[in-house]
Amino acid sequence: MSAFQPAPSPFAPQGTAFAAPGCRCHVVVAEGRALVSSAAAGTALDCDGALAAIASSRSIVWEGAAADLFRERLDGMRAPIDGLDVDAGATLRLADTAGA
Amino acid sequence: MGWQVRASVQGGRRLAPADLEEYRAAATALDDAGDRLRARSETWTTTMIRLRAQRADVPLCPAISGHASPAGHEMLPYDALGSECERHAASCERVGEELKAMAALLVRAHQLYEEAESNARRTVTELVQAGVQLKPSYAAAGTAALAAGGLVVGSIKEGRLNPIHALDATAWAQEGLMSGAGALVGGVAPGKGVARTDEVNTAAGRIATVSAPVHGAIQGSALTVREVTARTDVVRASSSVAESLENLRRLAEERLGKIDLDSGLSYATIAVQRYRQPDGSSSWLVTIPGTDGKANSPFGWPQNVELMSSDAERRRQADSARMVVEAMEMAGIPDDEPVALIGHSQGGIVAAAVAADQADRFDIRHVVTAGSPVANHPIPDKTWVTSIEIDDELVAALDGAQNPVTDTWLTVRGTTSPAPAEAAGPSDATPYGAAPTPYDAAPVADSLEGKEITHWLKYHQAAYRNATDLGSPAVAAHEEHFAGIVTGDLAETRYFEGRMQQGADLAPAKTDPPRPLVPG
Repeated sequence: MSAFQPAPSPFAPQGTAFAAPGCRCHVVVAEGRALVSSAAAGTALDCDGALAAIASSRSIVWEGAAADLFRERLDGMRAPIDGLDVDAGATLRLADTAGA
Repeated sequence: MGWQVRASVQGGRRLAPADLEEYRAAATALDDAGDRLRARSETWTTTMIRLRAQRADVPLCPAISGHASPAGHEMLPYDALGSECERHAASCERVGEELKAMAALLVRAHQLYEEAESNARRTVTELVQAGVQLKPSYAAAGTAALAAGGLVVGSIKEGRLNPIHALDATAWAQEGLMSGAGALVGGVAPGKGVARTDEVNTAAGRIATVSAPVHGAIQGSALTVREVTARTDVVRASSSVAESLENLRRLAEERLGKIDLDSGLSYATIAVQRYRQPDGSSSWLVTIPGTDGKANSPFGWPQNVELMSSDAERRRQADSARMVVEAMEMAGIPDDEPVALIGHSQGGIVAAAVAADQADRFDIRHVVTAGSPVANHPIPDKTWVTSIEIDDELVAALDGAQNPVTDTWLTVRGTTSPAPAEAAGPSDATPYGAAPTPYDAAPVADSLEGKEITHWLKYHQAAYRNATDLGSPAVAAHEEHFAGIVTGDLAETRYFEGRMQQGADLAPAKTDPPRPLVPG
């Protein structure tokens, strides 16, 4: 050690676990991103499935007040489902773009 | 807070197999999509929890701990991600629930699994019946325990002692218990009941051989039927089952003084209406209230036993059935003009009995019963039957069997529950995502705060309203059939009153005379 180098602080992190290249934060962040990615991808699939179910159910022959409500509710669900899909994607991007 | 009734429909015209498959596929797709989204909600919640755990797993990393952002370290915006995960979990749950609610609505409106439900119910009934037959004392003790448990729990919840909760607790077993008791009294051997459903009627026939003559000796068996005139409109023009039910309620409550329409009508009064068709012919609607229990009334309690008999002649001799037939004849109903009958409780049993036993005398096309145990009455196929029953009313379960499930026999079953504070009705359609789902149930008009007897007509009216709101094709077909009879202009509404007395004198009874009326 050079005499001109500053002495290590007694409060600085010690050991490989706290050194930048070997810090577990890299592993933890990668795992976190994988978790979010998996949930977001699954949500996209679920949203597609829900929209397909709505499309096929909406066209059945059924009349009356409850039938009107049924279609109204199904139509009303499209926007929240689309929104859910978009929001899940945004969450994934948030996880992916965040860094040090 | 009041009460509401949720209806399920059984029988009536069924969907074609191809349509049934299409509807089931649609309902399954919605339900599965709902399940997946609800599971995804769990995934997001788990993600949120695991992100927190991972963050806590590296407490000394300056980046993840949030104290600094030194080069070479990585971090995620854990707080923002946590909020997002929480939000997505809530959205998935809400949308998933909504999809499942819509699937359930589709299933209920189209009776997509009625066969399975019917089989399950029949199985329960037969098992309970077998239990009662094989171990009557155990069955009695079990029933008493069940009723007592319901009484205690219900009363605690309600905050006051209310015996009606005992009925509620035994609702699922009532048909089986009655069937078992009927088998014991009727002498049906254990095991033989599986192939039949008329154990109660067999028992009623046996009991009536004793009770009918005894009651006849006490009350008298001479029936007097006379036409009376109401001062005000009680049974008004109708063109639907719902309107006819309301007229039935008005007549039923007016004759007992529960409402005051100032009509002057008294107990044991029925109404016969004639509707004039465009081609000059007529059709008829007979409105028959239930038991009034008055001393000289043909609609007393013992007559119920005779009406429930499996013996056609015994049913014909029941005072209430005789009175209705006589009134129909006095009104001039010919044998070739279509007739619809609507009755509550004993009135419904009379309607079923007349349809079964007077088929060659009147052209009875449609019978509507509310709270009437008529499952085993041999009503001919040409007569359509619309039955409305409430799960825990007991009276409708006295036949010990569920109604036949055929194209011409439709049963609307109502299940009661406390209404939410906002009283969800069809007009209270809530916006997306809000609970409760409209058409889940129909509110009961003027229902009490606490649990009450659900045999009152207002509960059957609510059940029918909910079934109608569902847009069930089977209900619509029955409604259309009924409206095809009760159609045209109302030409006349006539009221007939019956009284019993000793001997063969057909003059009005001298004791307990009817209230002043204008003779018709």
